[in-house]
Amino acid sequence: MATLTIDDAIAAFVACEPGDEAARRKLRERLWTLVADRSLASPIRTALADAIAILDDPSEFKGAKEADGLEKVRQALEVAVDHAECGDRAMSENEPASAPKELLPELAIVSKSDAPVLTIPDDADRSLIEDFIAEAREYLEGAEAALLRLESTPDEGDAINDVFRAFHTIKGTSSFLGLAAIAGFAHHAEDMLDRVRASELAFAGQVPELSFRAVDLLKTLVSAIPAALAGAAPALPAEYEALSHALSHPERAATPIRVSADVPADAPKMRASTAASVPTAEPLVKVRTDKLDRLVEMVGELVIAQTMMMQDGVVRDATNHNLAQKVRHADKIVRELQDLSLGLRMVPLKGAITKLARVVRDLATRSGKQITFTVAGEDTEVDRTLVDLLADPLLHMVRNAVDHGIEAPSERLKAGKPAMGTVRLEASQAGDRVLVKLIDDGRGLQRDKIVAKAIEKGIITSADNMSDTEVFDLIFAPGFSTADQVTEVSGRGVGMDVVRRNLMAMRGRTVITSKAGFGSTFTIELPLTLAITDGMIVRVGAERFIVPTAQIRRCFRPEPSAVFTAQGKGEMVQTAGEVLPVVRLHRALVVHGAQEGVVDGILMVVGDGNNRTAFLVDELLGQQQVVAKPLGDAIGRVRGLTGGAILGDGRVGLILDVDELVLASRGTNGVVQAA
Amino acid sequence: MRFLVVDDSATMRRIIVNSLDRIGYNDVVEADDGASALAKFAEGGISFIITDWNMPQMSGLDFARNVRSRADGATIPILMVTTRSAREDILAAVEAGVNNYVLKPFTPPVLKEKIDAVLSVAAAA
Repeated sequence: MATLTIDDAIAAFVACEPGDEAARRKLRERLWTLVADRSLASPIRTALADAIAILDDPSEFKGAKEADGLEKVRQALEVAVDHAECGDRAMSENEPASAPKELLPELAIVSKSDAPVLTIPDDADRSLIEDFIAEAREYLEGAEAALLRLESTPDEGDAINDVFRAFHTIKGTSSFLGLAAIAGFAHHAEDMLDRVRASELAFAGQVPELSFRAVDLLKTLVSAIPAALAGAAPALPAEYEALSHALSHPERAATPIRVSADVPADAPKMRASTAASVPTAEPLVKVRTDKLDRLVEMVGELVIAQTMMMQDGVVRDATNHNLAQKVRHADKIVRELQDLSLGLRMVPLKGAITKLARVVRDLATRSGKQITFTVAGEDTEVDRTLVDLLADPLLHMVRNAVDHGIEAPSERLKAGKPAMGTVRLEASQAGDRVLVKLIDDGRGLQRDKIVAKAIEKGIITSADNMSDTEVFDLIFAPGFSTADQVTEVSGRGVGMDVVRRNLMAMRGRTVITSKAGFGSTFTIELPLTLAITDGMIVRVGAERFIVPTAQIRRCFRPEPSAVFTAQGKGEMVQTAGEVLPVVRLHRALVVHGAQEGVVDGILMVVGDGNNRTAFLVDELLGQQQVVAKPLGDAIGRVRGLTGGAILGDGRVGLILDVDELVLASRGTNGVVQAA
Repeated sequence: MRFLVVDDSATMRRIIVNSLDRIGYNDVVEADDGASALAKFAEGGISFIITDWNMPQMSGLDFARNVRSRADGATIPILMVTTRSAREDILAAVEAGVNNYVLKPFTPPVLKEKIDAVLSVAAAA
């Protein structure tokens, strides 16, 4: 076949009667072939490309506009013919590049409709939409991470592309699925990011904020899809229209890139560096979490059964070496199985940490502070249940660091520090414990202020003999921090006392160190898993109890001279430079036949900070890993106990609730009065 | 006829594969990025490529250029899936060796028309 010429295109154009869409498509395909023909001069091909762009835009040919659309095509073709006839001389007449035409006419209509609701077409493919929900969330998470990266390195082209692609992909896919409201909004967001990509618009001024809000709004829209699938017509978020409009006109508040790409010096700035996650190529299997929990539980039972067998007289006495060897072999396999099954539930801390970068950013912006937020060790793995439980404490710590730790830029400069404060989160594993540290370089905890507030709140009467650690610990005291301070971020008001109590319930502990003027470090220490407890088995009278080893600081037999009675506070013991209240466990738990004299038993130091207490027990029987179980509905919750576990000899041991016993021994406010 | 569908979005791939199925093409190989798509193409047996434009790491244009630079990729039909059609996009696509493109959202008949258009030009050449 002979090569197509412009004349062929003209012929195809002449064949385009009004209303003949097929003829237009034929013309379009001819034009494409011509554009691809490199033997034609480039101005000709450019003009033909213009004609294709017009033909590709259905809005140009809607109803009465069709004649105008055809006229535009004719003009573009004329330019091509002119170039073909006059050669390069006509090149300069080429019109400036046409603006990219977005081809979502029906979406524009929907976004302006009278009833702003999220609707799903009746013939929608539900499974496809469900896939879309999951995928859109992933893209939006990626976009959020990229936006945070962009704030620290505004010229990172990859990050811009990541954000753009998220909006772009969501727009494209949702348009197929008939999710017009989502496609319409994503379209506006994509437009703005496209302008940033093209350096028409700086990633500065209102643009970062608008981008974050666009991500948020899309998340909201995506979350509303299940309701829409269920037949409801969820209303679009209130800011839908306003934000769409702002995304279309960001420059009204933004700085053009040609002036300066720098963020003004006094503007709040926040940096987040999280290592780019490399998706693993390993094939994955999705498993329901309750099945996984059941598996871990059954393996726990197996471990107990194995322990019982190991401790059975017949096996232990090892009269039959052959049998003993087989049992040891089985034991080794059971232990490995236990490690494996626990590993299945381990997930990286990332889930609880990623959100924090955004929290720091928002808080810093609101309070006019400049903060660099860095994260290390986000891949540290802990039991899935703990990741969820860690979210609240971390949020509080971060909020504290930003609100109370980091100073305003002017104050920092005055103190000889850089205006940019740093908040660093470090997660690491130490043995079977995980450590999460939040380090800030702010003003540090101020002893005087804490003491004044604690006295004002009636928590203490004087701090004369309190160490710094004891004073810092007061911020965890009930009534010290008020719930209204945290409502805005966490969405539910919980004070620091609740944070600590929740951590204690997870057998975790908190430690604060701080140096005035140099910053503070909050450390949370948690077990890697709650499925298995390392327990110390203690005897009190004829009863045996299990004390979680993680909560025991040390054990000792006191010298008679170290035990004394303080007025109004009962029995105390002096040990290693501190004075601790003594709790006789047999009294607290109402057990008969135990040692009465403190010097006849063993003292076990438990608790943190101001809650350190010495428990009196009769004897330490040994350590054992136990699988904690609730006491069951028939018994319900018992004060002083967290549950029970089957011991090696098949009998049940009760696990002590150390935290509750300490609090109960000190009256209701749970804080030791200043000694 | 075996198709290679390249798109980083799994949902988009499903949409394209479903559309192909409806117009009678059910032999499809999928890839979620340019690099793995090139590897799948190199295995042979592919007679039509449908690729997304905007993908991480390797864009659809770069992927097309890569295919075209191969001895066995000089003539294979490449259809690009995109959301916009402006002069620059059309020229860039043509320069990269893309045979045609189809605009999102499309219906199966539109996809068929595009595939037929590409195939008829390829047959003529």
